[in-house]
Amino acid sequence: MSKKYFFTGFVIVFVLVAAVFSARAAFQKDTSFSPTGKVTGDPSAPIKISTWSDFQCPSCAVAHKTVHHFMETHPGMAQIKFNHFPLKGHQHARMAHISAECAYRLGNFWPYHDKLYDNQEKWSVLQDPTDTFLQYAEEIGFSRSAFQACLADVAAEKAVLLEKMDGTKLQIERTPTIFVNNERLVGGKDLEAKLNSLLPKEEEKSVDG
Amino acid sequence: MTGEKKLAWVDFVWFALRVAIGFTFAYAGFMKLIEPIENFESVVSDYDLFSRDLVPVIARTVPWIELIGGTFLLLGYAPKFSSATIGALALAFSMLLGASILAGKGEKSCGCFGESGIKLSANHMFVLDLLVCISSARMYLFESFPLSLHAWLIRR
Repeated sequence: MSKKYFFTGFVIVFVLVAAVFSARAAFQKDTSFSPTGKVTGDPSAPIKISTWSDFQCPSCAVAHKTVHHFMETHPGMAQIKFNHFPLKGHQHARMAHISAECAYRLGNFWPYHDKLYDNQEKWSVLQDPTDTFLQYAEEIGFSRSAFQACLADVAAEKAVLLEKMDGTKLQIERTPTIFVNNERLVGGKDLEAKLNSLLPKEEEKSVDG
Repeated sequence: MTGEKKLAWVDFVWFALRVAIGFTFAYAGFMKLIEPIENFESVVSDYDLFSRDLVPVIARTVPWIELIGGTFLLLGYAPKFSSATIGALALAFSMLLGASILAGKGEKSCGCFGESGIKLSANHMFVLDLLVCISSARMYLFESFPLSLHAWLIRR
């Protein structure tokens, strides 16, 4: 093999590496936490969680429980933002997200969000969960007619789709995708460990002990 | 060398196959590499076959091997090395997908082309990987590689 042969191989590898890094740079987007929209928790909290979730995805329900538990056991430590990311493969996800968007527009998003995740196994298997979604709205205190009017308005669906498009621009493809202090976690398996690692050492000890 | 020999139709068939396989692997690697690495880590982790420490290592190395090995095969550069690399990868993928199918996940998207690329089920990819494995093994045994960068560089 001549030097020219190896040099050719080196050039090919160099071009490939350059192409990958250029493409990565072109797709890079700002993922920093923005405290607008569906946000809860202490604004001065040191841990910022931005979650892109699907209401019908089982892993998202697990991640929801993890975050919920963390918020309860460590008050004031985290601020969380929810972003719609309904997956095409989930039959009722679109409707669930539109309902949740209506809950947001009518002024009480988080109880509705919790209800959808807590009852995911029940409504996911229904033929048509619309009535169940309306029932949840009533249980939380929304007027049935106001909620129905919101569901019929195309604006809620448009808001869900626009938010999903924002997620797609951030190269989100799987759910849940969660940014914890700007660090991306996909699938939620390492979420609990990540959140605990961000606790001040004294608090970590007191929770363990 | 091969350049003096008249090419038979079978040479063109192998050329087309080599380009197709090389392109497929290069595309699969590229699509994974331009996405956030966490997306592919999650795909690897979902197979539930690797330890937590191994998942990031696999997610960071396999796409580069696919991209470089696939491009080498596509161009016909170092064809024995690239066909052996791609064949070994295809064999490893077949075994991985076979385990996934046995675990009842055959209809799930395999994540082979990254999350934003082509979506193929584990069942489909298992068959494709087996075919790639056999073709690569055959290519490895060739004594000459007509219509390749290798043949051109050796002639000059």
